[in-house]
Amino acid sequence: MIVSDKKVRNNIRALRFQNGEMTQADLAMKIGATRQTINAIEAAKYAPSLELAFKIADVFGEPIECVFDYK
Amino acid sequence: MDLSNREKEIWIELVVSMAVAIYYFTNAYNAGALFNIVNAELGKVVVNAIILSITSTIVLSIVFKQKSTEAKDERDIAIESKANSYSYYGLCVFITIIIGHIMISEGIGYFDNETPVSLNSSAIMHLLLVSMIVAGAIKSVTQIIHYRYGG
Repeated sequence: MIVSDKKVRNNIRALRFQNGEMTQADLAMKIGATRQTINAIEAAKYAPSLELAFKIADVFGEPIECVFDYK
Repeated sequence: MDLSNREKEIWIELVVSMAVAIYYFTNAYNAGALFNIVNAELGKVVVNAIILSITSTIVLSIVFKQKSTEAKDERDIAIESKANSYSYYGLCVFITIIIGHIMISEGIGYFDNETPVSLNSSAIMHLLLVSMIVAGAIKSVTQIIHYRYGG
């Protein structure tokens, strides 16, 4: 088994502030998730599904690679 | 500690189930009903355990300011699924131990020719109940750990 140190990281926090200081609760409501899930994603404690990742990118009007990376 | 509504719900479930289990087994033991069902006494203990379960859930919900939880999202479902899986393995281990004990004591007999500790139906019922309580606790603890430390 290949063990990788790589993680799904993101810049949601920065994007939230660039988009009118959107709160985690606002973002959660827009994508149909809970605030705790947004918090876990931001802290890189949870890697979202592809569908949720696309929904988040869609809220910010950015391509997914601008919101998430894997390193 | 800042707990989400779902974490509060899981903590309440865990605390209530442990409190009810302690109450039930202490009183069932005192009534001599653990290995021998005494209907009237055990019935009273069961009714009291149900009342304790309901009242403690209400009291803890008020104390923890528990609000109705929102719909589960994909992370909640993923964590619950992982917790169910651990809980299932825990339950399987306990059931296997109980089956093994019954097979050895009732069928095969102990190798050293000592008198086997035979389990009657009341003891088996209570061991199965313990297995279910432990499996429930494994589920709650797994969920708490994943909500706190990621998953």
